Amino acid sequence: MTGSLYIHIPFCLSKCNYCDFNSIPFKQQLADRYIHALITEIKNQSKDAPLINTVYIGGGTPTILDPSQIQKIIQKIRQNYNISDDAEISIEANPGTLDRTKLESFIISGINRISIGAQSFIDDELAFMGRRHTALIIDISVSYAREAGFTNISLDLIYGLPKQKVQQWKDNIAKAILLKPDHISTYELTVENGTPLAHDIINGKYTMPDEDDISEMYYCGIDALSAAGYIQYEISNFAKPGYECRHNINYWNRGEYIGVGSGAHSFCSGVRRSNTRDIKKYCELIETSSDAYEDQEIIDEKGALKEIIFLGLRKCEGIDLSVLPNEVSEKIKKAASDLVRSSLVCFEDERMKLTQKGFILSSEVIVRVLSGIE
Amino acid sequence: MQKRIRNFSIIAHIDHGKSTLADRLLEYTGALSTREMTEQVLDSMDLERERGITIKAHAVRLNYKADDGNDYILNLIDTPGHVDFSYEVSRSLASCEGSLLVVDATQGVEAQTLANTYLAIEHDHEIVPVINKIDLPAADPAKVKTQIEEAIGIDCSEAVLASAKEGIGTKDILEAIIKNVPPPKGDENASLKALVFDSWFDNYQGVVVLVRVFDGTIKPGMKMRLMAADKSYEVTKVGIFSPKMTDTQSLSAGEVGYIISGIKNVADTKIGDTVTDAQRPADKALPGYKEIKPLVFCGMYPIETHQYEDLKVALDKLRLNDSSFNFEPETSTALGFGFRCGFLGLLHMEIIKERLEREFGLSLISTAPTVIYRVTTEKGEILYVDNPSSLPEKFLHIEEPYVKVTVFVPQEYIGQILELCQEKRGTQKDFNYITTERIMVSYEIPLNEILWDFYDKLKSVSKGYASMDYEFIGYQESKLVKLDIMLNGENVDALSLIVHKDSAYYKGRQIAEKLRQVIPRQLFEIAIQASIGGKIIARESIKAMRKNVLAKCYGGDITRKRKLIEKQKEGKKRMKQIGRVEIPQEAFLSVLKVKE
Repeated sequence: MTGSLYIHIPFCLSKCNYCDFNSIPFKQQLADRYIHALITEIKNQSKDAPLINTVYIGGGTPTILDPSQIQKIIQKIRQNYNISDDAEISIEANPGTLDRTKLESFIISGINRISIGAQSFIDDELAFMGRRHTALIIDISVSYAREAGFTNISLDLIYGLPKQKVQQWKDNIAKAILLKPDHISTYELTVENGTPLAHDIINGKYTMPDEDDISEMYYCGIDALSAAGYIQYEISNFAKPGYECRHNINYWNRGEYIGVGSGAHSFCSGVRRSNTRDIKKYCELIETSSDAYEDQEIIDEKGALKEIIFLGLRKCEGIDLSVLPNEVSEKIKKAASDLVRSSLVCFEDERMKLTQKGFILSSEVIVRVLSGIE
Repeated sequence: MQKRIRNFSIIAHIDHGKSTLADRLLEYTGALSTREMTEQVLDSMDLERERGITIKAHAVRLNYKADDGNDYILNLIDTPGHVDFSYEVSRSLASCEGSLLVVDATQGVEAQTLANTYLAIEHDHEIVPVINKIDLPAADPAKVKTQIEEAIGIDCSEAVLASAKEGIGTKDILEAIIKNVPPPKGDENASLKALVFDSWFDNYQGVVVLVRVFDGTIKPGMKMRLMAADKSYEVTKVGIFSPKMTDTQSLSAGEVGYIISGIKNVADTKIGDTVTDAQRPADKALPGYKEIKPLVFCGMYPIETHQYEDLKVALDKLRLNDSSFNFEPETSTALGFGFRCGFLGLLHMEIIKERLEREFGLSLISTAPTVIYRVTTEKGEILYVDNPSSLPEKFLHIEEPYVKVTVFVPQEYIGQILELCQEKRGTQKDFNYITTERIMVSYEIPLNEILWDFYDKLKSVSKGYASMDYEFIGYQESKLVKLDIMLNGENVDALSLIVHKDSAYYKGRQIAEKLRQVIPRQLFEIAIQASIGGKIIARESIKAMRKNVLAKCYGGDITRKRKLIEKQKEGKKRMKQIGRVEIPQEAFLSVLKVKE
């Protein structure tokens, strides 16, 4: 049995205007208390843990912490878990929180993959999003990371910003490619309720680009990336061969994972659990009891099938129908027959996959397949 | 006995403080202690409290020791306050000898108040003017008094100044009722005559009938007969509301109370009917009884076809308590099996629909409300058409119901009001200055034209100052045509409308445009066409969906992703699939929300 480990660091320099993730501005005292709780939880969760293939330190902005704290976290993990020799150990970073010393210390700790939240190479766009860096700082961060010894660097990019034109997105992709990252993720900006961005949009301060522009951005992103040798392996993810993010693939394959930290999610023995998002409450819970779970959901057979479909179809390789019971795979095929006719879904050697057009309409397709098998 | 009874009702415009005043009277006379008061005791239905309106009539007995040293029985009959229920109002008024006319000291007289006051005067009521909300800084009692005197012609020199909210003037009101409202003058020894002014179904007792006894006495054990329904029942209980239901030995001439007699179906107790003694019947029923007929119709369909039976059960249950709406099964090629329902008016329709969804957990599609048209076929037969899709292709002529609309409006907005009435095909019938600043206009307007947005527009063009009332006056011939809507070439019967010929083209274009806005993009392009008699008059298209994708899956939070997908799935369920096209609920009503 193998699995993954996720460590959540809920602190950022400041909150971006579109962000509804579990993060708050950095405060030293709270951070110290949090790391202490985190280390306790790392230990508590290690009982019966599988062999760990991937570790992901995400956030927030983990790189806001002092490198010694990251070192301590990694040490604690190594003390308490079986980590496979070729484990992928990633850290999420924001440009502007990286310097040579930090990066070198990460390498020494054994971190071998860094995912940098570049988001855009246009300074106006970065300022609009409330990011604290400029395009130049991204360039510098990537070269520092290379110099420090990172051989697996990923960049995150966001498209579909208010007022963004297709050409600007093309420029962003081109600039990202020039930095020769090993992996690129491109995400459409989602306007989440309650964020400052949502507020501005409701009040008519900004309007989002229309559906046609967004879909054009999506397609030209795919074209440019594949021309540059990046293989799409999931709706939003592209990698040079061999550099696919194994941690995320484990999520989509419904592999087991342990999540540590406030708001972290775990999936073990068919049960999905999540810790409380409230940082103080998290610390209190860990200080006084063994875990900080707030929600748990037992995934039954029906739930598992739903997950197989909506997670599996996000991947380019799709779903392997041959491992499903015969009547289930027949049902799925029947539910998808209309979608095949509309060239949104295709079947190849007992695998069901989304087409390129199906990807960008994936929610619609998934909803139809799920409704069809009910 | 009767000379110590006073039966009265309260006439007020919405928000002029009727319910608060009623609460205050209950509290003052000790019918309820302050502790027992939930605000607005009389409006007991949730919907009534939320909307601040009275939907059903109520009756409460108050015991009051007056300044003259005598104990009096005061029966307060609360009446519905909306034009949809004007027949019920008239029956409630017929049960009393007087009315409190409550006018907001900051707002003045409104159309609804006036209409009901006239109705009360027609029923020979003594009117006791009460100027409410005198505690507010903007209150101008003197001006409001003049307005009442000029507009209605009743003496306001002894009008009571009150603030129901602050409890000011409560005693003065009670004394004014004793002094001014005449006692009932029935004959206790004559044959029983009692007027039914409300009834409802109670799970434990069966139908509870509210009556005002005019002559004679009613007691448990008696055999009573409902004269219009022509049915007899044995009386098991009689009593009063104090405001709790309290059984009594009997109800005699002048009194107000309830009768329970094992009636199972509320439709048998028609409002306005006369209760008499089956053994010694009155020779004539009380005057004023009318069979009430629905004016407004719409189709109601379950979104999920398997809820058809549930809908039927729910409609049956609601009808147990409200015989003024009716329904019969109908089939739509687009929507499947459902019911064509008839209502007294739009508010009534909204209330029923809301209750179906809220109390019975149904999700429904209701088609655009329509009136009932009178069509003469080529063979000379008369057809009543309450569903646009059943309008025959050829006919000799078609008539539509007209109403007389009375509007009260401050003179600065009169221009906009006249324009609105013209736009709605109205013919002016009356134009009067009530006071130097307020005008009353009346128009004959097709009922169809005021169905949807007339009231909203009236309010918006007059910044809320205009008020209206309407009554049905009869059928008139009109140039009407059927407007059909097609989606991807298929006619959607549930979207058909009957419209005036002159505005048909414009409306067709507007509806096509509106549908383009409310129908979400789908996997294929959708063509929307509007047609009259097979001729396409407008077209629009909805482009195929280009993207629908969820962003990243964050930190392994699969549950959240699943919930988002489920939400989309639920959203899809709430849409009605017609052919391959999925249509949201609001599309069926949007056809009426087109700009003029």
